[in-house]
Amino acid sequence: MVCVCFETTRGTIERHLADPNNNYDTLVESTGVGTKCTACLLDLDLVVHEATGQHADSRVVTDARPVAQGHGIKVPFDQSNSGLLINRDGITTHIRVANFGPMFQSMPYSVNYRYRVLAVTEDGRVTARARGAFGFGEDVSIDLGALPGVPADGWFLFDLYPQQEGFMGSIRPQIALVGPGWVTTYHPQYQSVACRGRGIVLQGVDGRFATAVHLINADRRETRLEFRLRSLESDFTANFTRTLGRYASALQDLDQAFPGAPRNELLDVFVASDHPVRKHVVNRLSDGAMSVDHFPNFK
Amino acid sequence: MTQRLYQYVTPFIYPLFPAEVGALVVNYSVQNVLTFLTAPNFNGEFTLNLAMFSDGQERSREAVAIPVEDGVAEIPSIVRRFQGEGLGYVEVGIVADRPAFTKVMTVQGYGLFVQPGRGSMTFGSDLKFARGPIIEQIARFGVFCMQHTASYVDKSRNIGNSLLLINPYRQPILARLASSSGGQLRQRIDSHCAVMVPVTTLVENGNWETVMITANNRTTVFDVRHAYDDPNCLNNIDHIDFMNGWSTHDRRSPPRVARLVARRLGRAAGIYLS
Repeated sequence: MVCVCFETTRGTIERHLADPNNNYDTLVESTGVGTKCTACLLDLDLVVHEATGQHADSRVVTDARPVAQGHGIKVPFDQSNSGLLINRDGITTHIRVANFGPMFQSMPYSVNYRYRVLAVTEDGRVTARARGAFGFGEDVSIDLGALPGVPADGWFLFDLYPQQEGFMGSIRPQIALVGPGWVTTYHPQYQSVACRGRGIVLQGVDGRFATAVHLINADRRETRLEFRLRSLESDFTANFTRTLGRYASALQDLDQAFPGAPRNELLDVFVASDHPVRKHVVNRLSDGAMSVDHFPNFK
Repeated sequence: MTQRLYQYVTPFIYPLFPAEVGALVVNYSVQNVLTFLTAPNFNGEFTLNLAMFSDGQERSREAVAIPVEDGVAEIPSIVRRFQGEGLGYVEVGIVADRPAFTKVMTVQGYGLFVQPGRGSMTFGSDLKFARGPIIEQIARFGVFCMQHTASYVDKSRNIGNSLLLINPYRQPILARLASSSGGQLRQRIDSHCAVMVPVTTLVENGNWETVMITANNRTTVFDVRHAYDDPNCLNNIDHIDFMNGWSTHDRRSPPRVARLVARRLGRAAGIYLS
């Protein structure tokens, strides 16, 4: 007995699947197997795999139709991503984007894309650009360090333009920082969800935070930033302010900003700005490897 | 029309590593939940539930009662440190004494992983359930599918990469992993267990690859970067992405379309960067 709920035996399943007109979907429709308590799904998968060479969990609805949300005029979703860029000391920044269907299967509503990359210096100058295109079933690696004029430190914009309506699918990019003997990856965020104020937690190890906050001001106006550090274990508080010019970025070292802060306590660092600023936290480990993540978004 | 309210917010799932690897620090902002998900001047009581699972066993459980008066929590945030005996996870969720929350999802929770003598790293948690795009994905594609676009290992440079699969549910999960170069792997994750799966058998050495994961139930997956020869020497933890069932297009009102077109024209003309 494979499925106790619907009294479905191994023989029943094998006989059903032996008919070339049948498949896993018709098996489920005719017997209900696996759809009640679901405890048999592991065994069911093994029996189906032995009988057909297919996995029970590999069903993909390939005629699915995308549904644009909301009301009004249909427009492509604004996929303008930003992130930090490092191109020095043996560290390079790579954009990875993949355009596949679920479990690498095809989809009738697949999408081809065009993309644009801008590399921007810390003082807000665009010094490198690239454009390209890729189709469904392809993945792309863009080594920003290989672009002529790319700065040592700064930020990038990566815009994706779908050429027709389809599913977002696997299109969300990943950014990889590749160093000597390590790789770290993070998700770039839509610049449109940058926020005015968000915080993260922080703790020093061996007397250092070894942590920096990367700031991206993609706005045409200069912004003033205020870092508010607050201990979650004592009464310690401290503030630090700085400005960031239009289109500028900075890697703000928290050891430099807060030399008197307790390194052995857990602290909350909140970064507020006049207008939306994209923020990432960059942790440096004792062997030089990095860990990167974005700050929370406004939603 | 009265707004539908919920009595709980979906729990966060944080990965937990053995104590000799490092400690997990969780900071749950109760005040953030109040600010974003309840009516102004809410009065009542929340209970924050924190449970630690390690090696498939529940090792600790704590319930913290938090009175709320006029929209202000008596305890604005809760901080806890966790160390596992083996691999596992920490589940943190909040419930109210009556329906109070406008959504079951909240601002992503962040964790801090502290490795003595090595450093700390910040990472985002994952949600136990109720993530809209995953519900949409299963509705559209009929299959649960997670994907990671930047899997990479390089033995000669000691760069390793694993996926941490967490099953915070009561039934076992059978997951199937596939890579863009054709690698295939099946992995069982027992109830309340976590399993580290090195991607070395899935991806080719020195190549960037995409790895996809499907399973007979949803599973929480984190990408873990570590030394090739020492999976306990970590340098990054991150949640991975879901195969997104949303459309590449959305619908907007004419004024919003006009603003979007102006922004894009401005971008193309170099007036705006973004």
